[in-house]
Amino acid sequence: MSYLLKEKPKKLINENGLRLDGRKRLELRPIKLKVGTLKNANGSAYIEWGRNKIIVAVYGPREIHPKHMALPTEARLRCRYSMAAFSTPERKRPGPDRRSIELSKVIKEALKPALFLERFPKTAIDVFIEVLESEGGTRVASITAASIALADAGIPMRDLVAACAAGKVDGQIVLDLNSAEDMYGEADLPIAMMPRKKEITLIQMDGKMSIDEFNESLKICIDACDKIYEVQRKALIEKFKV
Amino acid sequence: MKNKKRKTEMEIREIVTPGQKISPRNKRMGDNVFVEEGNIYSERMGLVEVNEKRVEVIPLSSVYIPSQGDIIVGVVQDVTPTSWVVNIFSPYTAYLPVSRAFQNLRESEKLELNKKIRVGEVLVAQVEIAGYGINPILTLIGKRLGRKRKGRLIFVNPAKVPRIIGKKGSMINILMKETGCEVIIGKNGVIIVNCEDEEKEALIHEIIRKIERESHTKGLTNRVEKLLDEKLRKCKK
Repeated sequence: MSYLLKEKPKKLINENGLRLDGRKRLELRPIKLKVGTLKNANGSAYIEWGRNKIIVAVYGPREIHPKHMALPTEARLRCRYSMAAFSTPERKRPGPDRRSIELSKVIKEALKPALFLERFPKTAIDVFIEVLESEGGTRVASITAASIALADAGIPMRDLVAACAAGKVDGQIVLDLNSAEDMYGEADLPIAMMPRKKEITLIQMDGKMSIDEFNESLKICIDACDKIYEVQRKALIEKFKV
Repeated sequence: MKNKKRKTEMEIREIVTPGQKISPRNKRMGDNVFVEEGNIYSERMGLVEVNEKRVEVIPLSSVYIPSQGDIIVGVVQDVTPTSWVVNIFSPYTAYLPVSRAFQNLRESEKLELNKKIRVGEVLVAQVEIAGYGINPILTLIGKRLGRKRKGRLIFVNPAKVPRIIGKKGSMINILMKETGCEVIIGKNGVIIVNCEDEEKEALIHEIIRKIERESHTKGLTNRVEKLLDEKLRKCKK
């Protein structure tokens, strides 16, 4: 809890090059992924990424309601990102707000290119993302978990989607920002990609970076996504191991 | 000879994830694979089956998409003036027109369709018309089709249905022969089990759940046979 700060600390990276949670500059937080945690959903996943705890459920392809939302040539992908009231240090007012509506949209668009939606015309695929605890980087953790929940549901996909963030903190480029670094750092660059073909499906930036810094952030993010991809594949195979 | 070949095929089975490369494109493509830049990739979680000619992925989980000729088990959801609406546990709702439920129906009977087949009744039907994004049309005209009034419904993942049936019906035949029960398996993952006594019904339920859980493992048919033997002996005692 010590690094969940309400005021800006003097230094986010100490003289030994360690960050507030003791990580090195290019170190990911530990990731724990579990597939098939919910029995009622077609596919589900639970992710612990540092202190982020997120549960994802995928339903579908199923009949679409309301009926007028049906698309004649493809399935409609619907995403709902929602944070639990107890997910933040201060109570969060439950229900959709500006931020979660935006995140629902960008997560949907990050997942969509990976899916063969045209296989299931006039149907809906629903992805529900519930953040139980948050510590910065919930959107990338959500995308990572949602993509394996979709695979668990048996929905045809071109590739899994792995996601990670990089950013600039205390003038240095760091990987996988936590909440303090996100809040008091200089820039934040979340990226989602399909690692097989290195296709980027989400890129956002908040703050200021030079072009060189941006390129370096992009590179470390892509390397991290490859690592996350392996974790995802392992988690999926783990479910069916005898 | 045949048995030998089957064994080697089984050994190549490996779990793949979506987007995993399976082989270069020098083979025929089976289900659940796609081609990109001259390579064949898996598009689902599943087990790969590769032989000299063909590459295929057997999915571990899926939803039922109706296709022509499938025998399915559905539940009547609604009655309209000309047809019944049938829930077939798929993204698409099915319709059963009067003409395909009953031949030679009198005019007066057509006015009282809700008395012919009631809402909530279980049907074993065949998909007559199905296509891309089309609500399927069912038929009751055919062998072993019609209403079912007795038995227990078991819902399984449609991807596991081929395993529950087994190679050339080996698994289902064992179940039916050993217990003497009637087991109807719908392609949509709905199974009707109809036994004389409830104990056997529960036993088949348990075994189907076991098959569903372990469908991707080797030597399942033998294990099921053993378990069935053991349990049946206990039943008799």
